[in-house]
Amino acid sequence: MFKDVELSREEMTSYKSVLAERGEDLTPDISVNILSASAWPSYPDIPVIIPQAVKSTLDRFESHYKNKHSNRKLDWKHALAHCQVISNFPNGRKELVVSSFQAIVLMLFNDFKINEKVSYEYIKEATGLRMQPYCPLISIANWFRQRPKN
Amino acid sequence: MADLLDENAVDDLKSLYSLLSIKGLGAKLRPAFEKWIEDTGSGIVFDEKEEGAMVEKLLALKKQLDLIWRVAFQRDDGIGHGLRESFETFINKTKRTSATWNTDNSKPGEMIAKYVDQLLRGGAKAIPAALFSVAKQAQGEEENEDIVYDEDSEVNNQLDQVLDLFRFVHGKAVFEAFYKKDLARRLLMGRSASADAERSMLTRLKTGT
Repeated sequence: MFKDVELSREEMTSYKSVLAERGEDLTPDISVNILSASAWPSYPDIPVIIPQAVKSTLDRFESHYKNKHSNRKLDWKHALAHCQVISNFPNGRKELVVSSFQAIVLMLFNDFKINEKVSYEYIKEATGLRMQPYCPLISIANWFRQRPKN
Repeated sequence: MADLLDENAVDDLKSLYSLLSIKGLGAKLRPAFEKWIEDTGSGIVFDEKEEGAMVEKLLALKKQLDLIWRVAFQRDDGIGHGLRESFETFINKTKRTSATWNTDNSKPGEMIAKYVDQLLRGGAKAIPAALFSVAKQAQGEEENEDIVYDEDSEVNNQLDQVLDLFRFVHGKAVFEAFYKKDLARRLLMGRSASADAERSMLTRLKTGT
């Protein structure tokens, strides 16, 4: 497992310099941990709809990786990911460290005006998440969104 | 004698042992000692309300027992064996439910893994104050005024103590499963206090030292 973490770090460094050489956009900044399935505990696959902005970044990495290592297959485990989300609150900009699922829910609010309500059904449709396990996530995400002050 | 042990009356125990030793009867204390260890240890392991504190309490108990063996019982061989045997007995005792089918109790393995996870994530901050090696020295030990606080060696010291406990546990597979899961999470979230501590722990687990 230690080796994989080291290797992932090297992969990311080389990936970023490749992008820089091509003059490509380096945002949003991603960091991918590549785990060899046999060395790590198994993690379930949880289907979710990734927002397009993030998806294209991941796809770009995936095609780079597949070109580099032609015989390998990548299985994304989004449930393990976490993100830093920058939010604009009335009191100023805040950086939130949240799980990927929480971030996906939060990002939905970008499509709505301030104080406009977002229905549970909408969230369910747009994220593709089976809601029951994630109710606490939704309420946390909502709580962040609706706080008028900090 | 149970009362003396309950009160950790090291000097009294020492006197008791010395007196008996004069007649070569020191070993008579062994059965009572063993029983007290088994009773006290079982109490800790099966205390569901205080499950979170299990490992802390076991570490404290072991520390107390080791001190008593060294100081009060003059490192008596037979009593030393008795100490380790009874420790091993209670830590693997199953509860009397049909659900466990006489397999070894897996709770201590799980709780030890959790405790190690806390240590490796939090570093020395995760160590309960009572278990610090540089805390005020127990009765009967020499004072050492020049101990310098060193985070790495504190953590290593704790890991050593925990490993000492772990050696008594039969159900190693339970521990290993939890340990692997926790290690994976620490690595992926970047939540390790020290990469050195992680590697050293793994080495120790592999070699059993």
